[in-house]
Amino acid sequence: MKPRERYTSKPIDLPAADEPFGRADLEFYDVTHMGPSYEARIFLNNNKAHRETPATIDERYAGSFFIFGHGICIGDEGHCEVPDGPLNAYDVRPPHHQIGYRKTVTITDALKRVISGDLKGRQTMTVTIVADVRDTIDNQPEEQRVLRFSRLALVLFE
Amino acid sequence: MTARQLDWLRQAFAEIHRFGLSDDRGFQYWAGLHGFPGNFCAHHRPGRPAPLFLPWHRAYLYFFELALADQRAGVSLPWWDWTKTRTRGDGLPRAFSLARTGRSTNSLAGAGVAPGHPAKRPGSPAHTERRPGPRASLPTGSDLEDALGRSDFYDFSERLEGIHDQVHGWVGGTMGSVAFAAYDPIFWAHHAMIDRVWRIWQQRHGRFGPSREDYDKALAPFAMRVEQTFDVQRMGYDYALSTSHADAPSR
Repeated sequence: MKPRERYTSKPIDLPAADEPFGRADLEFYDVTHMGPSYEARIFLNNNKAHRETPATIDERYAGSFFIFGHGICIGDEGHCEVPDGPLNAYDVRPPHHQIGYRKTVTITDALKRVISGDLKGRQTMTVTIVADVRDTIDNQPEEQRVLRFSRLALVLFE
Repeated sequence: MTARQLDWLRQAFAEIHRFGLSDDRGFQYWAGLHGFPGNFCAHHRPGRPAPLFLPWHRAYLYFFELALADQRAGVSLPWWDWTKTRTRGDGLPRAFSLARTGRSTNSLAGAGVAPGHPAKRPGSPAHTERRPGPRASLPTGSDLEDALGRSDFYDFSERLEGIHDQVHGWVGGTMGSVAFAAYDPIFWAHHAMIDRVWRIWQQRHGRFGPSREDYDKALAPFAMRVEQTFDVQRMGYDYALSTSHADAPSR
């Protein structure tokens, strides 16, 4: 996924009204932290949300995750490019620092509000993520800005 | 902290700034292990059970505090509780934000960033700087309680690392970059708070944390394995609400 500062998902399935859940998490996979630090604000079924949109219930704000940015690459050419993997079964080096990881945001209350409120009876919703990038101290080329992940998932627990 | 403890801390920071980039007694050496140029920090690593975020930073704090204590006996790192009401009023702690203390530059207010290092890229900062965000954007006690309530250590660690990221981004400037964050003196107080929260989790859940398959993992570049970070008391410290000092009676 190319880096961007605002993203709206395709429609994802909502739980049925009679399908109780105790906790709902949004999981973001293969998140990388190259570039500046930022807050990723999550809005449910609000495709028009942008950086200035208030993080309020009315705007269907659901929560945020935060990225502590790597900043510029401090090594030589290729340093921040992810290699193919461990050399062999005996390679005990830690994973490359730019390999993606998972971020989880619990959105239980926000999801329950929308499925009992103005999304009642609907079967899908979209998820919009807006990245609020703080000032940076490095010279960040535009193509290195920010929001990168491979997919997201809505996970419900009892 | 008492005024005397704060004074000792400032003295210790001022002392370790005397040493050059490669001197392992010095601030630049220790700050440089995190991002630039050492690149040893354990952040955002994938996999489960794999994340060494908490054990690695505990080892980092431990050895850095020893470096400070080598210069000023009795010094200890404070923690910055960013959930406290006072922080939400003051923003950055005054101990770290005052530019001067009396006639001296406040050694906790900032530092040079690897001055003269041959591998610094154009555009890299010469000195730490901070650009704090709105105080209401700091993590809350509820955020911490949500993390502390997670009984699975890796779930807790992931949540706490997210809160940790939030504070780095809130301070902004050099604290907002993995590469240069450790050059800011407030980095150490921030991570002492993170370490303290792990200690609180350990006390609440009656467990150390990482699973057995992580016990023997090395925490490079420190002479320490994951298992050796489990018990802060065996590392010679704990998190006290307050301490009071008294001089020995004169002879």
